[in-house]
Amino acid sequence: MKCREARQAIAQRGVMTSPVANELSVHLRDCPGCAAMARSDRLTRLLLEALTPDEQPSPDFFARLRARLREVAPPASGSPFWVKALVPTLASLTLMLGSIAYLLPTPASPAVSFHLLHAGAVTPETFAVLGIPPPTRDQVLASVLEVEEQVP
Amino acid sequence: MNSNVEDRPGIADGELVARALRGDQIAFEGLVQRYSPLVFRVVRGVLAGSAEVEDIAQEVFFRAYRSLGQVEAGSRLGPWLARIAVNLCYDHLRRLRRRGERSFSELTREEVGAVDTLLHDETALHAVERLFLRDVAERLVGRLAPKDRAVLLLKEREGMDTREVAGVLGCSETAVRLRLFRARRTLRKLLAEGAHWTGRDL
Repeated sequence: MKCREARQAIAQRGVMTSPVANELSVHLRDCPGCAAMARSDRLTRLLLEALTPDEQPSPDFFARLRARLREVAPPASGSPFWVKALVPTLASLTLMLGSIAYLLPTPASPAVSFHLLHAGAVTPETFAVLGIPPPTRDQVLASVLEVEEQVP
Repeated sequence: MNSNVEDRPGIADGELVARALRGDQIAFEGLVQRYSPLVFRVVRGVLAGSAEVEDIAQEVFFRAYRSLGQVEAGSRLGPWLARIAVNLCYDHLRRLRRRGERSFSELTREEVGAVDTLLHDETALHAVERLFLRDVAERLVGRLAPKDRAVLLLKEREGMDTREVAGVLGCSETAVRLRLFRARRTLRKLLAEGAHWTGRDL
């Protein structure tokens, strides 16, 4: 078993067949790197279990919740079907038009370019016509995380 | 356990939701009973320690009740509740940051000892007091960015697949995989530091 296979097996833990488990066991005995990874993986799970034990709410949890719910109207059923269908359609249309408007005057952000490509809104040839290089995979990933980092 | 709360395992979530929408609060409390362990785990995990876990869990169910009509027939309630919980945790963390509060994340000598126990003698785990161990976990997991923490928790503790985690967090599956990789790498580094402090290898 190679390190790559061993690390995949570690990530899948618990669902491996007996021969794979045996091969993994042999590999871990001879490979300190994978053995350390398996150990830290197991410890991560132990830490998470310690951090988030199964617990029941305190005795007054339900009483407090009940009191709050009494102050509000019963939940209403969802919107009619046509409203549910229309809202995402309009939202997507607005987003797509906005994205294209954003793309055209300036070099596109990798994430926007990627989504436009992925959605079929533009083709690789569009980038050639506009003189903009299509985004690389690394640019897209960096951009996704950059946007998400703005939220704690 | 509150004896006034109806928890009937035989009744499907959809049926309880339908009854709650007809004004049956006991049916809703059955859902609260069923999902409170999940909500508490998510809130406690994403906050990595806070005295306000129960208040936030309460707010999760309060908002869930008011939005119950938006639940699609046949959809799973767990990921939907987890999404509400994670978003409320982010709001809470934003408020803490605005107030300039920070969680203390340096480990004490005793906590380093607990990490050592975790690292090298799992069988001794029961000897470590549960609350103390939770404190260690809070400090170590608390070093991760909140979103990385959420991904790690939903994947490793709640057993959600990448697609479900992406749905809960409102991000791409690629971002989930990246965050998971980063969270695991950071924790491995922290655990290795713990091993270094105690003079033993991971």
